[in-house]
Amino acid sequence: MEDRLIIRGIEFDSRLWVGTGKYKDFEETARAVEASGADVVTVAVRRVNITDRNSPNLLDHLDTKRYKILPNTAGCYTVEDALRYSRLAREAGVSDMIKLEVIGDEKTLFPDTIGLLRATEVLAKEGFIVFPYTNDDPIMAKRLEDAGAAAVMPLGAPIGSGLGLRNPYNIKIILEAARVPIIVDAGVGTASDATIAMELGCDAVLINTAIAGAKDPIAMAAAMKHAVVAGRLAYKAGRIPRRLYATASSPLDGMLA
Amino acid sequence: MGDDGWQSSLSTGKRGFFSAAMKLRINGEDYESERETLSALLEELKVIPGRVAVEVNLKVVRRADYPNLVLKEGDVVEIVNFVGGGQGKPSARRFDC
Repeated sequence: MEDRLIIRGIEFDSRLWVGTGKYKDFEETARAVEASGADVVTVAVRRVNITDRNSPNLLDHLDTKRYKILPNTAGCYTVEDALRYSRLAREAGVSDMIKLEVIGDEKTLFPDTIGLLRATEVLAKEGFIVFPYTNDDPIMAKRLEDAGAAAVMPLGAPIGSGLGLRNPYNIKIILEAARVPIIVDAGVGTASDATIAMELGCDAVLINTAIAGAKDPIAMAAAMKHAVVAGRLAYKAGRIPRRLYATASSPLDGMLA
Repeated sequence: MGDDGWQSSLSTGKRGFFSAAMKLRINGEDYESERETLSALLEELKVIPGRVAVEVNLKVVRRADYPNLVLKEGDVVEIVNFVGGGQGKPSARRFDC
């Protein structure tokens, strides 16, 4: 049976989701997205440049039929702003999906989870498919799920930090309790971090900086693609338990006396 | 502006014969237009409605309502689209571990 991620009836071809920020140019963005094999790409909502209408647009470089565009509320520090950006994003006509961020602090970019919960409630009632970016807090993950989140996106580490999963045990606890998909959002630094997230049983991983900021973003995008597939396969295969002492894998029978 | 109110109304969507340009605030900047409706304003700005979302005085406007929305002096208009972005606001702060 095919191991496909489905959220609210939407089928996803890849368990790697990628952001489109911090790239050198749109061409590099498009090539990295292609190499990653992702079918979800996140975008931000910003003012149109009305003085220079010839300025290029990201969506001219991405096939919107091929990729699912996931708008985010990045940069929003209040519930009101997050709601405003979400409603604008929906009206721009790409989808009802929103990656909801209510940021609490500029230095850490940690989420303001109280505001996040409020915004999730409101948007879920308005029919949005809400993906809230939250802490690795099992209780808050559950509260967001109860508030109507379509999936919960706990951070592995601060956005752009590349520190990997700082608390894999909390992610594990979140996964044990969850009835909605869990997607690690932020913190991945290199391929093995993505694999660890998937081996824990996460449903997908969202990566931006680790790819865009790599020396060779296209090569790193490919590495992440394989890392996510490997982690998922290992999770499904079921790893051996950790043991303190050796267990021989070659037979002892037939050894020379 | 020393406007005498005698503006041409040759092109479509412009305001009435005696009306002057009205002052708007678009994406945080002052802007003067004689266009009467939101559709006409977007046309003047060469903004294609397909990929943008528009807010007038903090209310999101449905695309179907663009032709019917009559602009008034002092209206605050926001026109947004999608740009590259992943998570948070890219931080200027960097550190190595």
